[in-house]
Amino acid sequence: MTRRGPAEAKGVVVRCISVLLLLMAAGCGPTGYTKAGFFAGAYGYSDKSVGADEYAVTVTGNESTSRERVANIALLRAAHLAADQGRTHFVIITKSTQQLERYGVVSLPIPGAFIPVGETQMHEPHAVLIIRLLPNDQAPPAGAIKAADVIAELGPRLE
Amino acid sequence: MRIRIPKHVCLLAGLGLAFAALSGCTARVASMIPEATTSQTAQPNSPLYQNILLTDVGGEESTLEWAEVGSAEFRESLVQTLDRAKFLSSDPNAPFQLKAFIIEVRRPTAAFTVSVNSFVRYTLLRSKDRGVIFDDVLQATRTATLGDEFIGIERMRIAVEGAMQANISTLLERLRRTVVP
Repeated sequence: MTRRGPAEAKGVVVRCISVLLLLMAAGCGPTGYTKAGFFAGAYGYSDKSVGADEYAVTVTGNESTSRERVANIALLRAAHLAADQGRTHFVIITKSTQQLERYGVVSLPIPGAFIPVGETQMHEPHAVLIIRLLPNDQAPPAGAIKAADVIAELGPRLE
Repeated sequence: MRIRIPKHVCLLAGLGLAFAALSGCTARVASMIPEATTSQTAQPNSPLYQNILLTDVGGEESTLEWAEVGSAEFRESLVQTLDRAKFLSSDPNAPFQLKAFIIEVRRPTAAFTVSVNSFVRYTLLRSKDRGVIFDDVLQATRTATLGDEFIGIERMRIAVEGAMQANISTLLERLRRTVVP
């Protein structure tokens, strides 16, 4: 086994610290327009079909995210869903935002591992939006939302 | 550097996984049924009294295999709860229809204290004209601690079942205060 020289080892440490700082910076800012994943607190949007032309969009943000922002991310996702289906308009059936309580493990880092030493309570904004896509061959009813307008307005701010 | 995991930690983890595997993965029906209190039971003079047919139930949630909520189990929990609370009708021509759809069961990835939030969409319709009486997403939370269960997987299941039970309980309150036009 070859041993790394001091300069090479220093380079590895610097790279590791840079990656950690980048990850920390990414985790500190407000949640952006991104699909929620399993890890990293599952922040972002997710959606599912809940019936004929109906979709539920849910968004969870990290602690740095406002309730207004998660509501806007949900609305933007709804607009993209409509556009993806070739629809121009949709209506909101129901919408809500709330603060969810979550507990996270506080860990003490040691070389090669993390030791859980306690818990911290967090509050994360969450939005639920249920929409119905409208057919393009009928005049949109009052209150219908034009998907293109939402994408044009919210897209540059959130994407 | 090589990390050695103590034998007793491996043993506990193994026992936890074996226990979860033996006891099944899906949330249990009985654990999702709330105690219907008098204030949640249909009043005999209400138009909803034994007049609701449960139609569509869906939205199975299975983000984590050991803490999934199956649509079949959720339906059975709803049927038994609505029956006990005197809202359920088995008549296909019942005046009202209820649809339920699990939107999200939000769970943490890992924690000592597990807080689970359930979001379910309930739609109550008038059968004769399909008029919507309410179409709401109801939210409920259940937090399970180390005091509830030491094994993490079981603690998660308790929280998931509790969140679903609380959600059904919220539905009963919603039905109870519903004014039918």
